[in-house]
Amino acid sequence: MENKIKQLRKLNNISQEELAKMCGVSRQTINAIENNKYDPSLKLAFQLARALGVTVDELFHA
Amino acid sequence: MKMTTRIWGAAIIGTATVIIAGFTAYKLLMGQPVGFNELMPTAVLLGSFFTAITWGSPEEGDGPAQDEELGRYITMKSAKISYFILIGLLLAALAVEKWAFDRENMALIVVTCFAMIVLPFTEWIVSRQYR
Repeated sequence: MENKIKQLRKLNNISQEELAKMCGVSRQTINAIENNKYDPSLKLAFQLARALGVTVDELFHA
Repeated sequence: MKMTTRIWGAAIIGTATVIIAGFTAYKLLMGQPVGFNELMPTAVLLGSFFTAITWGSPEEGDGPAQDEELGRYITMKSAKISYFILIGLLLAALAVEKWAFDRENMALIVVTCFAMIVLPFTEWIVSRQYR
């Protein structure tokens, strides 16, 4: 599933490490999601959306 | 390079693996019998070494943790790949037994048959939880 995490992260001037810490996961998890290597769970998708100040709908698109 | 727990662990276990593997190789070269007592510790240590170099901790930020989401995904994907590698190895062992030594190892045949059933059977059991 495509996502806008990288763009929104850069827009908010947040590093992968910072976003990872905000969501309670490792930097590698954020990197894997950004590069579409795996789809996050619903729980993590909501955490990411909340951390980036958008809705899940805005963050992910099929 | 930052010396994290992961790197220390990998270095210690890696050194132990090399020592045990070296001792096994020495015994082989000296013509002494090598069996369970030599091969099993090498396998266990090698397995621990790969575990040590794979998993990190969120505190040290040196890799995905085994109990986080990506860790569980990696474990699940690796388990399925490993299963098919094991099936391949068991079939290869059966083939070697038959063609190289012209004998049938009943225990190996039973284990191979069980290995071929265990995944679909477990999937069937797990699928029942979602009915």
